[in-house]
Amino acid sequence: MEEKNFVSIEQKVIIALKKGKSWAFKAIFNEYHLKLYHFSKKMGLSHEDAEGLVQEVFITIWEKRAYIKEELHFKSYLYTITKRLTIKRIRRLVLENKFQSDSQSNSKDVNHETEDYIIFSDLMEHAHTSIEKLPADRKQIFMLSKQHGLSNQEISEKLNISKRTVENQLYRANKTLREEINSK
Amino acid sequence: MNKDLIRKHLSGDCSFEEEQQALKILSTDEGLEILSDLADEFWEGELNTEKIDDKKLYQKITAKLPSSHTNYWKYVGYAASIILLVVSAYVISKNSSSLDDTASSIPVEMVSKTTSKGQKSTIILSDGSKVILNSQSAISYPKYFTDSTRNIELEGEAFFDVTKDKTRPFTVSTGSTKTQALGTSFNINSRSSFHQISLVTGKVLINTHDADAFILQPGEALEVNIDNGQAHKSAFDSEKILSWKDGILYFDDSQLQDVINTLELWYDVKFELSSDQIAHKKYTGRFENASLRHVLKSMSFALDFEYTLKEKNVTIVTN
Repeated sequence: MEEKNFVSIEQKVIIALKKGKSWAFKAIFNEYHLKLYHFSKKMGLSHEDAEGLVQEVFITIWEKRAYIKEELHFKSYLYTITKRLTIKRIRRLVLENKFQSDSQSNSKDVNHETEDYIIFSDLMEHAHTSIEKLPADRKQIFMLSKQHGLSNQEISEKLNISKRTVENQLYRANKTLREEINSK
Repeated sequence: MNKDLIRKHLSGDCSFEEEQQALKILSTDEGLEILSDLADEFWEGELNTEKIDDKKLYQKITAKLPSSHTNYWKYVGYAASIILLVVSAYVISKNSSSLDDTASSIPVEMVSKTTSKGQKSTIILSDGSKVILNSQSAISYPKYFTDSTRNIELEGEAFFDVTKDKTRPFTVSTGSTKTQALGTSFNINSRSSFHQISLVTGKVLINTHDADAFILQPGEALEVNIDNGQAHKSAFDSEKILSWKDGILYFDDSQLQDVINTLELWYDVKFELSSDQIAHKKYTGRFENASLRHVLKSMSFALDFEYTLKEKNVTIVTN
C-alpha cells in the first residue's frame, strides 16, 4: 500500500510546496504570515523589522523547500527558522546600539566612525538648535566627543567624571538628537 | 529577575537605567537563553490578530525570489484578472489541476442532479458522502468515484458531509474555485459572484486560482470574489449559514430584499412590491418547516404591510 497517499491537508500543501507550486507557497503565507509578524513585534522588533523578518522567513522556506520533511510538523519547523532569525536580528540591533554608546572607545571599525562623522555633520547642519537645547553638561560631552574627537576615556579624565557617566550622556544625546531629526 | 527585565525591554516599558541594563544582558549568553525562553513563551501564547498589508508584503517576498521564477512571481502578483481568465480557460479545457492526480482517460459515467426553486434534495454519493442540495442548484459527479479522486461540480448552494478517505481527496469545483477535503463537512454558496465556503468540521484546502490557496479551520469561512480572485477569511454565524439544510428559515437583521430573494427560491414564488422603500427594511425571524402563508403573516405584522398570495405570486402593499 502506497504510504504516500495517507496524508492530511497540510501535508498535501507541503508536498506541493516541495514541487515548487506557487499556490502552495501562497497558502502557507496566507496561513502563517500574520502570526510571524505579531510574534516579531512582541519580540520587540519595529514594524519595518517585523515585516523584514517575515520576508526573511518565507524566502528561507522557499530556498530550503527541498529539505522540508512533510511527515514532520510544519509549524514547528517554521518556528525553528523564525526563532533563529528573530534572535539573530535582535542581537544585531543590540550590538549596534551598544557600539553607538561606546562611540570612539574601540575605534577599529572605520565604517562606524565614518557613520558617526556623517551623523555629526548632518546633525550640525540640521540640528543646530537641537544641540543647543541639550542640557549644558550633556552638550559639552557631546561636543568633546563629536567635534573634538576625544575618546570616552579622555573626556572622563578631562572633566573628572566616570567613564560610565560619559557613556550614558552620549547615549542620551544621540538618542535625543536622532529622535528630533526623525520627527522633522 | 533578569527575564522580567528583558520582557519589559521587549515591550518598551523600561526606564533609561533599566534599558541600559537590559541591553548589557542581551549581549551575553544569559541574554541569549532568556530570549530563547521568551520566544517560546510568546509563540505558544496569545498574539495580536490585527491584519497587515499582506498583498504588498507578499509582493516584496516574491520580488526577492530567484530569477528563474521572477517572471512567474510578477505575473502572479500583478495580473490577477489575467490569471483568472487564463485559469478559467485552462480549467475548461483540461480536467485536471495541480491538486488532482492525472485524469483517467477512460470515460466515466457522470450523474447530474438539479433542483428547481422550491425544491431541496439529499443525495448520497458512491462513497457514502452526503450532499444536501439547496433550491435552484445543480451538481454533477461520477457515478462511481475513481481510485484516487472524488470530484464534484457545483452550481448554486449545497452542504457537504464528506466521508473520511485519506486516499481520495474530495474536491468540489465552483467555477475556478476548488474546495478540497479528506473528511469534513462544509457549506458552499456560489450563487453570486461572491462564493462563500463555510467549514463546520475537519479541514479544507481551497484553491481560489492557480497561484493562491487557503486552509480553513472549523468555524472559519472563506469569501471569494470571483471577479478579481481576491479572498478573505471570516468567522461565520452557523445558524445563519446552515439552517437551510434542516428546513429552517433564519433571518437575522436581514434586508427585506434579501429575505424576498430567499423566499422566492425556497417556495418557488414571485414577489412584487408596491413601493421600493420597504425593500431596505430589516427583518429578524425564524421558521421551521413553515408554510409560506405563515411566514408572510408573521412578516406582515413585524414590518406593517399587507399581502396577497395568488398561486405563485405574492404582492406586498405597504400601509
